[in-house]
Amino acid sequence: MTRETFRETHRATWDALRELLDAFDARRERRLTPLEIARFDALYRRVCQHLALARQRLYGADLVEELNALALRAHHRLYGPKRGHAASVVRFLTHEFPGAVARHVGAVAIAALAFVVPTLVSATLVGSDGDRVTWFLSPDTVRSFEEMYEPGAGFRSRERRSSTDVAMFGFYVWNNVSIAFRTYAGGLAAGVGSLFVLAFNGVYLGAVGAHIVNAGLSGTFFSFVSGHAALELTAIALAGAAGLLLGKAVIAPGRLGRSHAVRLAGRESVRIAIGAFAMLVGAACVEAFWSASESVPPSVKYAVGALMWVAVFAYLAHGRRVARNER
Amino acid sequence: MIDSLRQVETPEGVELVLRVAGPTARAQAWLLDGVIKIAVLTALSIALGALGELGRGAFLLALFVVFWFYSVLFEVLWDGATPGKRSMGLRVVHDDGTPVGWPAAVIRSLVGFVDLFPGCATAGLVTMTLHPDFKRLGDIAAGTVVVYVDRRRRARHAEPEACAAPPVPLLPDEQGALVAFAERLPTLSSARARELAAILEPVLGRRESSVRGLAAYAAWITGRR
Repeated sequence: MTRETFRETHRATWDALRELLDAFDARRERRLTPLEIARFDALYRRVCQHLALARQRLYGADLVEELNALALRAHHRLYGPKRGHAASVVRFLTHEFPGAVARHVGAVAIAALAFVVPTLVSATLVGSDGDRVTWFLSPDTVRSFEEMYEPGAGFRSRERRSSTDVAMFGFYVWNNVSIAFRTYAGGLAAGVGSLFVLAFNGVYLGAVGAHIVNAGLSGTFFSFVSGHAALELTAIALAGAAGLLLGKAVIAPGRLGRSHAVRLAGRESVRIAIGAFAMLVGAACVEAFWSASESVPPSVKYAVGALMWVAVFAYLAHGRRVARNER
Repeated sequence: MIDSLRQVETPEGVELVLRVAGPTARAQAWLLDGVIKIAVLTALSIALGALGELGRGAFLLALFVVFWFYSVLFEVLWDGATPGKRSMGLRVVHDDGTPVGWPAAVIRSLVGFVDLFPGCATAGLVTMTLHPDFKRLGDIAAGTVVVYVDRRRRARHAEPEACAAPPVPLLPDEQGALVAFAERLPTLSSARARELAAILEPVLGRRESSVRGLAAYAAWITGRR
């Protein structure tokens, strides 16, 4: 069969597929009957067969490229992503995220240590000798922290309007989640980036905490942070863990090729990173709308804080059950 | 690989060919996206500045979304292309040619932060130049590739005036070579066309291997009789 005969014989099929694709592109699919839509399958497979024939019979680059483009368009339309976003978000929060965390407890433990140990080190150093705080913080930063946590300070007064709360919410989301994402992305550098950010934040937190205690402002500080500490600290550790998973794929891909290992690790770790993002948004809500309110007595805040820790660990422990079921 | 073509085997058992986009086109798309992002954020900051503290919070949220999720939202919801990529005719797809989904798009965007190091996207550009499929670090981690969307039809070639049967029987790949030569004729200078046609002189003889003669044989082979 010559090329022109081939074209004449099968032109109708190609035009029919093109029409269907144009209808889908212009979102006119509702005007098609189910029978017409059902033809899409058969038409696409037919065109794939024609493409293979055209290649094998050397009918020329023109025809092959035309059929290739047509098949690509149909392939793109047929294998599109699944719809139904709302249900998958719920499923992500209840199954995928806790399951992923439970599957990689080792990485979470390392990340937690990389965060907690520097915190304790700097806290001990500053706690034993208050002047050492200048090793970690500039004097301006120290002063601004002291001002922030003065009992009855302006930023925690009753005059704080809800609009300030929204402003602080926006700031916490922008600031904290960006840090978490950078921690995650930095893991690609053999995990070093993640460890560095975790250690840096840990040292900073330990120094600030110890200095606050030295300055006698612990009442205001701890009642402020108790609400969101569980969510935020856990989320930072999880983001670090996700980064470590990426790093492990880079330096120790096991039996897989390096790029393949990174791709698989990316799929797993991004679940943890997005879950951490969700936790940080929750922490930002708590931090902006609850932690700074004066009308709640400190004892209630501490109680809620303790409950949050329990809740976070119970949520992640639920992941172990999910992971076990999926095995 | 000489051509920037990537072959993907589909479940239908046929190989589809994707044209992979190189660093230049992608850099242009990225710059255009940057301009759009800055314009949107500037407009928002002016609009929300009037709302005081509430506006500030809303702006920071918008900044967060635009910085980390601009690409994600466009790539998943708008057929695989941000406005910048669309202007250059590019599209993001998975390695196997399927349209990009949420996990891959998010990974691309988050790891894209690393691509910006050490300054002005150097890591990303270097990785793209060295990788056979022009992938940056975000693409490697997510298993995606940026390809051209072939929308335009090739201009039709000039119809040959004559068509004549080849004087000797030809094998299929020899016929394919003649057809390919005839298809490329509009893009060849006449001197080059004569030079290529002269290759067949020992086989077909001098008169029969003129450019016009070969085009006539190709027309006969493709079935214009």
